[in-house]
Amino acid sequence: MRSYITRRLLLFIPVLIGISLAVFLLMHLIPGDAVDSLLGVEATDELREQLTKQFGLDLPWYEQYFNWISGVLKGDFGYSIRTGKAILPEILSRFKVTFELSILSSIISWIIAIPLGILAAVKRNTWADGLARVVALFWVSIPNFALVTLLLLFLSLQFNYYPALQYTAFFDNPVQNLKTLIFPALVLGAIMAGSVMRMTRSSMLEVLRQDFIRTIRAKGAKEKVVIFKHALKNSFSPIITIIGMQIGYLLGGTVITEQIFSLPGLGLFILTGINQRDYPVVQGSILFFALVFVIINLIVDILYACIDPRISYK
Amino acid sequence: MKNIIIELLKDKIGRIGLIGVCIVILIALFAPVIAPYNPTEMFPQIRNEPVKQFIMGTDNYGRDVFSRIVYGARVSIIVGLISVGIGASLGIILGLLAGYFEGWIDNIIMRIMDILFAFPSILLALAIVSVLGPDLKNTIIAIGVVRIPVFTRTVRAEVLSVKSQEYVTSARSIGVKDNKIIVRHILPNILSPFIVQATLSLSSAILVEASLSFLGLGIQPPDPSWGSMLNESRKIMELAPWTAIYPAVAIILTILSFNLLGDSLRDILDPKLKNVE
Repeated sequence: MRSYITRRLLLFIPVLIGISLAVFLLMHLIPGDAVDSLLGVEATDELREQLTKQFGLDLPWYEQYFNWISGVLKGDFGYSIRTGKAILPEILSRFKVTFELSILSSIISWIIAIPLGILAAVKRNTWADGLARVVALFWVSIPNFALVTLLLLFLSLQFNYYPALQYTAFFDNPVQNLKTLIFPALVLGAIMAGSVMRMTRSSMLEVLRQDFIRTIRAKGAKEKVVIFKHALKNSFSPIITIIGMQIGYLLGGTVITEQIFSLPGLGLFILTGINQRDYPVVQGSILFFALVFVIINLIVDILYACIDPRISYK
Repeated sequence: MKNIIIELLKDKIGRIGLIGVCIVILIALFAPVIAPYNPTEMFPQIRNEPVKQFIMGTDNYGRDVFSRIVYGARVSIIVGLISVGIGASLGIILGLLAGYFEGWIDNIIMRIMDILFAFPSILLALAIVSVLGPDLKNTIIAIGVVRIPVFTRTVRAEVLSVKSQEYVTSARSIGVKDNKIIVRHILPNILSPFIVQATLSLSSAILVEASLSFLGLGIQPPDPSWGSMLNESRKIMELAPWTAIYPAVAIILTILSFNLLGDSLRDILDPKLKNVE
């Protein structure tokens, strides 16, 4: 177990280096550099040269990478070329919004999906199971922006309701904060619920078929005990995997949700960065997003090994 | 192939999916015949509600929504097919190399794939498009690159299991060359999971295209894309709800059809994958 975790942690280092290189090189493929996009075509050569030096763009790429990455390791993600502000503090404050949105949507999706998945597995091949499966498959197929647009349209036409768009931080005014976030979280959570439900159902079914369940039943255990104490516990590892995978989807999904609801999260920061061609911002935020994603996956892998000891022997 | 279609038609879910996918492909193929107008033509009747002349109404610029939906199907299918084509062909080559030769080749390829996998797909596509610039070609490239690791992993895993089969060992023991073993003995035996993956990838490629266009970073107006139509409708949807409803329904039904087809194909071709999402 311990050696498994150590191995996973060691494997994590080259992945981190790879990610930072990938983000850096991708941003350096940009036709025309950041200076051109900042100054426009009419700037004088002198000014261009001065800025190129200031950003360190006259150095060879590996030196630029080294300068950037050593800054990142010290917590310096560089400065926005539009506002001149340091990027990391902005990323961290915006990540709070994205993080809260992700957690809320996850909780909503688990509340909907796990009980439904268990129900569908236990009542296998009945109308309840059929209905739950069709609804889940339908649900997985709805892009979040299409669902949001249709919902907003319906609410405004039928009830004259418009969700609050002014974001308030949780610690300033928790009620107002939840009021703003609950609608976007419901939409994201409902969409995630489809695949979590499908996974819960299939892994429950798998476990319910196994011999030890038959033995427990034969011993006369109540159905409730069989399902909640034995079957559910043993079907958790695939559910955790899908939840880990969902986080990636969720982080991507927040980009769109934040844009629709004008929530000042990290996703909107990236989009604004892209639209303003503010490359240090895009580079820093995408790196941060990827870091969060791999760290969550690492945690999921370790949790997975804790729940299912067989993993560490592989 | 014929057997697969018969099996699909027997399965209720597969049948609905197959019919849906065929309809979308036919609409895409025959767009110029089906659409009554040019999708970018602007009529003086702006935000006209659905009437006989414009069966799905017109948008904010007086363009016929129905014609744009029809041509939008073309964009979705083109982006889906070409990008999955790019992802699948590179993925199959890399997956075969990694799985067949193992060792350092495998290590290098799979570590690069791990890195690509470390980015949520829409985010990676966003990053690529932001670097290359938003248009049809770059959207296709971005989505194609995002699909590479998915195919590489699927193919590699299959190659590893097929490689240890006796018929491969015996082919090798009588001196058959590597490339012949790969093409003759391994490739045909990994096709099933590959086809399943390709169908499911089509739905996510179409989804990513719609999302990028919705964010204004995919297909650029006035070219019709369902995602950008939906984005444009947001400002006027209370005045002209039809400009939002039809593109949204088109996206949902198309992705649903591909998912239903993929699900059913998975059950038919690869029963052991049934419980894997």
